[in-house]
Amino acid sequence: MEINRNPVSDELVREGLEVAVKARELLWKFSTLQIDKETLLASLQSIPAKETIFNNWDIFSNDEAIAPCLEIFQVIYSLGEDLDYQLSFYGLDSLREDIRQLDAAIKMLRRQVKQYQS
Amino acid sequence: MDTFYDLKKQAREQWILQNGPIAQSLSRVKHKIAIFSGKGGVGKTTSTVNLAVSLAKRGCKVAILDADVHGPAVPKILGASGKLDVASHRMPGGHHSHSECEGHGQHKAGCTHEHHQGNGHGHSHGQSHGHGNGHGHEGGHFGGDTHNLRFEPIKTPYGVDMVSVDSIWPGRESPVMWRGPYKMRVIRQFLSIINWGELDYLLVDLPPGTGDEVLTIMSSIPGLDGMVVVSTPQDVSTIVCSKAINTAREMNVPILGVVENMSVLCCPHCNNAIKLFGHRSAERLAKMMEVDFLGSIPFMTEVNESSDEGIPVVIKHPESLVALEVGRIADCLVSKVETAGKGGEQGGD
Repeated sequence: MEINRNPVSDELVREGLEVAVKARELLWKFSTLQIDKETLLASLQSIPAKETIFNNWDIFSNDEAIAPCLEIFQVIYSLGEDLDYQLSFYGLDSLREDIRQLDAAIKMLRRQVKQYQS
Repeated sequence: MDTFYDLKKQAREQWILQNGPIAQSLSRVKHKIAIFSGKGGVGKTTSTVNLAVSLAKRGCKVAILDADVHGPAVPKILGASGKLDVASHRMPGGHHSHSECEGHGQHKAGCTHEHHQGNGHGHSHGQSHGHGNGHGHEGGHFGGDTHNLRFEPIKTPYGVDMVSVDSIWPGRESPVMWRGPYKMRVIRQFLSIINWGELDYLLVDLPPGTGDEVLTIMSSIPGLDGMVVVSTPQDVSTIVCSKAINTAREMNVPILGVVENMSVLCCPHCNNAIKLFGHRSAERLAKMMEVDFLGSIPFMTEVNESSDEGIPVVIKHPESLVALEVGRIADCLVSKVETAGKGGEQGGD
């Protein structure tokens, strides 16, 4: 699947990669008890994931190539909303699953960017 | 014995359940019913869609949340492909968006509105949602307070609103490879971020089994009226369904009753009833588990044909035995939840 050559999509992919790396690091730090829950929540909520999804919904909902990007913003936004619920039902280890999901999305987007550049 | 910390945590969780974003989003939904089964392939989705359309035909405002993340089929049966639209304007305090304030009229038993039937209600249905270019955010960007940003559910031609993973996922080829916690969060987002508006019934179509989706719905919807169990007349189905019923009981969610699907096959030639699976074991299940038996839906080839066409059988063949039986079950459900109110067992809260 090729990445859409729409400049807005390109910008979203760039932004998605950036916040995914940031979120991944935050989750890792929290999982290894380097930061507390309040810091994690505040940091996740400071990323404008919900606005990005809503502002670019036309693109996200139609451009299959940036599905991993939607997933990244969705992970960040939903964790910001439901971190407490997740921790109480699934425990701390479940965040490793989110890290894996972010990793997979980052990998897919980087592959697409590489394809696009070549 | 619970410690003070446990009790405080429980109280906080209860408060969030009753007052959090999901509770606010569903505050104008009168009845919330989930349809589930222990076993796959028993016709949960077909039953859910036809029940929803039957309720809509009775004048109720109805929506379906398709909580089957990996195998969403509600859009196909309702003929409603397309993506969610962003709500046209913010709704401080959860008030109306443009899509509401329609369909008011003569009230029917148990329902607050005479609902749009057959040909939709103001929006261009179905086909208009193919490209998701929202009608409220052209040129404008949302920022600052994002609390009231919401999506509109998809309007279908049959007077039933619908939300499904298909309505947000851009990939036709990309599979949904989500695990437990993420599925849980997506379902909770569906509950909190959709502008459900004023509804008589929200039906939740659950995937088979008692996994993450089912537990999330049971624990996240405040004031869940209860669960409807769909089974086929096979021991293999009823055995698994009894486990599903016990799961609901474990979660303090009431069981509204058991529906037996594909009870008999009506021969298209001689009209004789052929017992495909056996003898009314779903009714036996209901007796054994001490829950109500809501009715039997026969199997007819028209059900599959109409589902494939995206037209629920209760619309395409309203005089068929299936449609009549689904209608009877819908009446039964209406009277059950209306008369029971919230006086019986309490679910979710």
